Amino acid sequence: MTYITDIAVELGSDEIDNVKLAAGFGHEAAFVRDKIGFVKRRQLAESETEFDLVRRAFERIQNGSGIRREDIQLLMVVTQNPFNTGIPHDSALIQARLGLSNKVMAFDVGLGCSGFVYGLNIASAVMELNAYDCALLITSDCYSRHIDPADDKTRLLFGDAAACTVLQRTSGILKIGPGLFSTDGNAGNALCRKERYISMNGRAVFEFSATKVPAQIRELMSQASVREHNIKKAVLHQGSKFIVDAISRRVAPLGLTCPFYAAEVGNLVSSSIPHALSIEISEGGRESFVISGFGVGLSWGSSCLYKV
Amino acid sequence: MSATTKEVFEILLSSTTLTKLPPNAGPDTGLKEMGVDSLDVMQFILALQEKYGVEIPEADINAMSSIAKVVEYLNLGMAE
Repeated sequence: MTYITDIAVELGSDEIDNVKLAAGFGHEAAFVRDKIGFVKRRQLAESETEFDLVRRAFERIQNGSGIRREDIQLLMVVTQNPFNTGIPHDSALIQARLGLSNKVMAFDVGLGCSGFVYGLNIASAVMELNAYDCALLITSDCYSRHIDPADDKTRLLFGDAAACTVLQRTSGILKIGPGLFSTDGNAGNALCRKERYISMNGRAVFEFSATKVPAQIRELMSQASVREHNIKKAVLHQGSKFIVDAISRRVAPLGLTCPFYAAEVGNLVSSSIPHALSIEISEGGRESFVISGFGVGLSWGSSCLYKV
Repeated sequence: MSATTKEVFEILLSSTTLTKLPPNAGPDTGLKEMGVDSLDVMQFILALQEKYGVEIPEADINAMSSIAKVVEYLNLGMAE
């Protein structure tokens, strides 16, 4: 079995007042607070880089759980915005910059908001196959540098963060359970990069999120091995409060609640679920969860995390 | 199957964050006047699609500016 043993999330240093910014686009404060949900967002400061966030998160992992560099046998980096051109891949650059061993399997996974759920599943399989004891899953996508400043549909949503999640095979806080994964490349234009900037068809993304994600969660929860864990909480990708609330209403008949964790940070792309889990863990929440990530691709994945 | 004004009003209230209708709101009152914002519209449209089994293209949404117009649109669509 594979377990999550620690999560550290680092946010961009700039704090953006989203209410003030939204007013410039003609949106009322209530719309920001109750619908978009992101009252504040965190962005990279001008002098800050994605790697600064990764480094700070890794330092917190080292200080917190005492993981040594030489313990890490697998390094997976989930990003769609690599530091340079993607050649060489981010995981190789990070292996070098963090001073990890050469005896590490390091690779990138090019996924967006579903990336953390996919990453856990891939890492778990690789660790089992190779009898690895320790892996580091990094999610890092800083969209602020890929957003059209004149586009309120995207500018009011995204925040910048990096998360380091430590996985081990012997013990941990949450045991990684089964997952379900889907892709619909035909609908990929709903959320993609067009020339320089991220472009989003809000209605298409909403309809995808509000229909496909609850259906996948229902299918996962119908599995006998999942039902016996009596899961009561879904930790969703924090696309917006509007989307979390819409999914929440549709999975409520399963007995699931779906908290919104991101009012002060924004949509952190693949780091949104580790950010939410870190809040649950820090508040002492020892329970089983369904997690669900969904977005660019279109790609969606849901998985179980069982309390230990 | 046909859509009725009463039913569509109920869908509006159950699918959006609108908890009650403003005083004097009727079938011809504009959705915006009733406090329905752009995100509410997305939820409302999805709920209509699921209820009546129709697909509502983006280009048609602007014309669905009141409950009366929504009912008319749905009944024309379902009659085709």
